[in-house]
Amino acid sequence: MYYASELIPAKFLVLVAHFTICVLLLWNSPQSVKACLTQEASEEVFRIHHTQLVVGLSVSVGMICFELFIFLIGLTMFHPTSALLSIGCHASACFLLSYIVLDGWQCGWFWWIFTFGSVVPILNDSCILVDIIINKKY
Amino acid sequence: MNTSLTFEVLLYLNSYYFGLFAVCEIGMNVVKYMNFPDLKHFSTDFGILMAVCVIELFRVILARKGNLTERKWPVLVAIFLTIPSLAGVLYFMIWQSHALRFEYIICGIQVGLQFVEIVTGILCLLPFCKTPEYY
Repeated sequence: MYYASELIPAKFLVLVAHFTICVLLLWNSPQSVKACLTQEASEEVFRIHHTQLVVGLSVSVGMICFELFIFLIGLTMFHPTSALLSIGCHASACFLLSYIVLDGWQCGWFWWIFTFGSVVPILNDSCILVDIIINKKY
Repeated sequence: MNTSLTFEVLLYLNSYYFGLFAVCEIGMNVVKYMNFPDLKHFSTDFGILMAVCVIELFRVILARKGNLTERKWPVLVAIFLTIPSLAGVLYFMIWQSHALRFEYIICGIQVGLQFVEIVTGILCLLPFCKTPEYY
């Protein structure tokens, strides 16, 4: 319980940090796409990559909001293992996304960050949610 | 729903979030001071940031103490202290010299947290929202 209480603010802050950087990238999406493409890229290629990035970031923001919601209502607040996994995934995603902002990586690399930084923790939280609903632990 | 518990959770998380917010704001003020030599109201911006930090510190301490000891006055004072704190955060969002996109986002989250805290704080003071005591 003591360790869990230490993990609660850490998970909250890491989730907020990931949310912030995703919104920042979404706000500045045309520049992010221009930075990850070569100079010779056509308008069509730019449009496709821009749509993919906007969709990916929007889904990511939605997942973070859902995770934050089930965390704040207390369903995943006292699961230390889940919190550790979530902190690890979201912190790595924040670090790597900040490199995308600063350096301008390849556009395809975003999907690896999306998978390990957003999909893995939401799947873990969904399993906890299903367990709570099936076993009526609320 | 136990409003007192919700209020306590929000205050607990806000105390950590505000620490991060204050560090980010101070850092961004330093960066702006170094990169924008034509800043007109830097001293005002920094003074308001320091005032918001002090007000927020007292507000969170008062609200948590009042909520845990179930006394009305500290919670009421904390709710009133939210108004200048909210005005300060809105100043960083709207009226300061150079507002960055990052500042808009972190100030938006802080405003959201403070708004929810005002609502739950008021609900905590209402008699019908008190948890029943069984002897």
